[in-house]
Amino acid sequence: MEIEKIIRLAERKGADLSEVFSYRDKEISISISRGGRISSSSSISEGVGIRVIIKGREGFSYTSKIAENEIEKAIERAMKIALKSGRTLESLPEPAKPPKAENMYFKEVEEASINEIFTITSKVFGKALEHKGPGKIVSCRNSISFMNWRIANSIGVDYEFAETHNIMSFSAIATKNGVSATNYDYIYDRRLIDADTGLNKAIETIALAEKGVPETSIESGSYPVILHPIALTAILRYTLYPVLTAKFKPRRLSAGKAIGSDKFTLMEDPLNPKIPNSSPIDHEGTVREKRTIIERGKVVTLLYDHYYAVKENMKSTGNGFRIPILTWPRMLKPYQALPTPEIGSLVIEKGKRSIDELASQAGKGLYVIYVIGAHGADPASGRFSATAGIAFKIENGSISKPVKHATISGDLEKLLNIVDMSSETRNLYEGITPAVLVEKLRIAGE
Amino acid sequence: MEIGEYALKIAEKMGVEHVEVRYQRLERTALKLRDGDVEAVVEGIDEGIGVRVLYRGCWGFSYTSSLTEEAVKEAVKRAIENAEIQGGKCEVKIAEANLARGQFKFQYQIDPRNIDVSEKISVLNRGIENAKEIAGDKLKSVEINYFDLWFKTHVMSSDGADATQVGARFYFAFRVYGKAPTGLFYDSERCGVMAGIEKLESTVIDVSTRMAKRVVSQYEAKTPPAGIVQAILESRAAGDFFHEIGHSFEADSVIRGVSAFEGLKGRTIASEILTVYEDPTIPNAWGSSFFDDEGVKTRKTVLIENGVLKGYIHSRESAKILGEKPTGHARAESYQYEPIIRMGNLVVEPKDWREEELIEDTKTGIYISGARGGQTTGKGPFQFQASEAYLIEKGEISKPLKSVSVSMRILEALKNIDAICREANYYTTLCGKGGQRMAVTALAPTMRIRRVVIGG
Repeated sequence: MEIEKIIRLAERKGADLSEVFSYRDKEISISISRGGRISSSSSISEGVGIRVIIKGREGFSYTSKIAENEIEKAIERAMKIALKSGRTLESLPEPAKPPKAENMYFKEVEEASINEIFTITSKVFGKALEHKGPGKIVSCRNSISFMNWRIANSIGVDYEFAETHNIMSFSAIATKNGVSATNYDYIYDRRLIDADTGLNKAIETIALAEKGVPETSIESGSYPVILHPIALTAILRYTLYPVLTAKFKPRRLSAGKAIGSDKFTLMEDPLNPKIPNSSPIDHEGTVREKRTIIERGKVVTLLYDHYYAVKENMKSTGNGFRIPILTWPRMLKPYQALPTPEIGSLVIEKGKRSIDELASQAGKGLYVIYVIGAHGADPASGRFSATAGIAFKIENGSISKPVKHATISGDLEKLLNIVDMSSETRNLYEGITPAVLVEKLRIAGE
Repeated sequence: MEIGEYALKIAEKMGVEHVEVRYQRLERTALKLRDGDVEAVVEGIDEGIGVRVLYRGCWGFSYTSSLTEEAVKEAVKRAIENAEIQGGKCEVKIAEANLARGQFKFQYQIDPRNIDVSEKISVLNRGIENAKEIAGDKLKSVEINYFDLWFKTHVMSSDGADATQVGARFYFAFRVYGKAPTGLFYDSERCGVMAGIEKLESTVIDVSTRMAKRVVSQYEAKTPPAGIVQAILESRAAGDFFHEIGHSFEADSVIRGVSAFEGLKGRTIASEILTVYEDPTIPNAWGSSFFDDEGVKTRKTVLIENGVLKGYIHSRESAKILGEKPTGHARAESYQYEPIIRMGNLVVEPKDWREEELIEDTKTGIYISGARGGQTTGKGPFQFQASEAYLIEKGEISKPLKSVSVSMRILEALKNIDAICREANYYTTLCGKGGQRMAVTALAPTMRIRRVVIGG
């Protein structure tokens, strides 16, 4: 059923305003594990999410069945919710001309066959298995997706966007003298990741597991800490990023508030194709712009969708994304949810130094590659405590032996008390991130 | 012929060695409330079929949300194609299993589909009001994410499984923001119940009361000393602890070489007072199922007996590889996923200690109640965050502590358990593994561990 028809149908049924988010995707995923387990899956899905506004109240429903009678039922469900229990909302985003998106869609990904993805994955895993040494590849997962979505509303927004993604992830384990270290890593691209690029990352993942097998311990205390981009992002995901959105209540941040050192600048770069969340508009049709969120340690703006912007008399920052709310089994597709303010395409300003130079600057401390347990953090206070999966001692200004057990804790202010950043960055799910040297964090060791 | 049977026949005609077809219908309501305001309401119905085939020795999987014969046939073809592209590089064999046949139903009285969303909102708001009444101005804000689900799953396999299970369940995550002299703090508790709406109000009040009391007790909490301490884990914290350990009983992690228990079957791996089993057959528990997503009847499986590792939990494939019997633990989040090995209800056998005696017997240490944020790397460390913690001084609970994280290595932790109590409570969660979430529980009594690393 055409989008225009759905909008008209909603109006005929009594909606004052209506919005349609129509979506289709194609996904292929190959996973190969040590022991010969291969998992191969492919799917095609589509659906429609419908938002209506009646008498100043909002209702929403969705359907994965595109037949007219199913869409009619979804409109009726949305109307019922609006009339009985919907949020207060009187408007929808106005139309605006979005900038041109480049390098966010590649035909080679949309048209890739399962055979092609299997061949790449199998070559990478097969070669990684040949690695000699205490480290072994445990598993490799290669997923590609093509998404096409269109957002239209009854006041003139109408925009269609196509995007492609390829994520190749690895896990590895290394054991020396009965002591083990595990490591996880991944690469992301909008294009197809070739076997050589995948293999390099696989070998890098194994090599780091080998280097990370614990050899020494660290005494409990407060130390300078270098956080690898993966470790830093894992902690920011549960301490800083949730509180940057306007939906986080009770509100802890506001424009002008100082939350970190003057070395910390965070931007949003929605046209950067290296970041999975990039797109010229958000999921409700608001144009996204490059903007600074935190400048030299001070908050410039929070992130808004249309609903929260209206509520607080602000302008949407184009961060209305459709992230399904908690259910189980999960609703995984964006058409199954209303827009809500979420972080988009983040870039942390990089520095000029190498990791070794940061270690030299630290003198003594810890270099943490990745952490576990960061999701237990307290976003209200910013306090966190996470255990290092792989970490190295910094002694006499150099990175030295891997540490057996180190739990890193502190709060957001201490975390963002950044002394310097690396020049090298990583493209992660949330955005582009350097490693950072933090002045001091509390370490619990053995 | 019903559509699942059609899929089975089509796959058999196309020459597969084995096929499983899973039909599912999911009817749900999801809500997000904050301090009495509704922030999101979603109602929806999802239906579909997942098809997994064993073809030329390899697995292939696909699914469809469209139930027309044409769409189902396409899904079967895609599953076969997914197996075929592996070019016979795998030699998957599956173990003989006790397959389920028949109709099974979890007990529930009030079907969530028959209750209007506004009534559910009222019940949840009573939980918020209850918390605010108990905690007073120490409580700044309360948020509830809630969903309920009516589900029907029908599993059929080419070797004879043909069973349906129907039930209702609800789950909510209660998040509170408390005010303390040092600023705001956050706490959360999740609770899953396999029942109808008849149990919603009592469960919401129970959790909101517990959380509000925690907000009060945490008001003046101090940062804990970092380092190695003796710890008493109250039942729910012990549940999270054992759930994280439980991942190492999953035979796929043993086969991949990442389980802490790899190669240790028959050896003493824990304190001799410890007996652990997995039991998805517990009636109406959050992690229960009559059969798994391969159609295998679930059963109780002893994992550790008096400190000795007795076995693992299995799918049909892992049981064949390790020469054991399937245990009914191949579970999938929904028809959109392949089954992988997952826990159901992990149970630690209670012993004789009373909690008061245990505290009195502990001269110095930390008492940890409730947990969130557990994670493990198997052979590496694991960690969880205490929801509530206190210092133990001279055999008595003393000052409240904040932001206590507990980390250990699995084998060291298991050997350091020196006392287990009588009473146990369910720890319920939706656990993530392999890109899937699963409803699981751990039922563990309060216990003491001689050495844990505390970070604060």
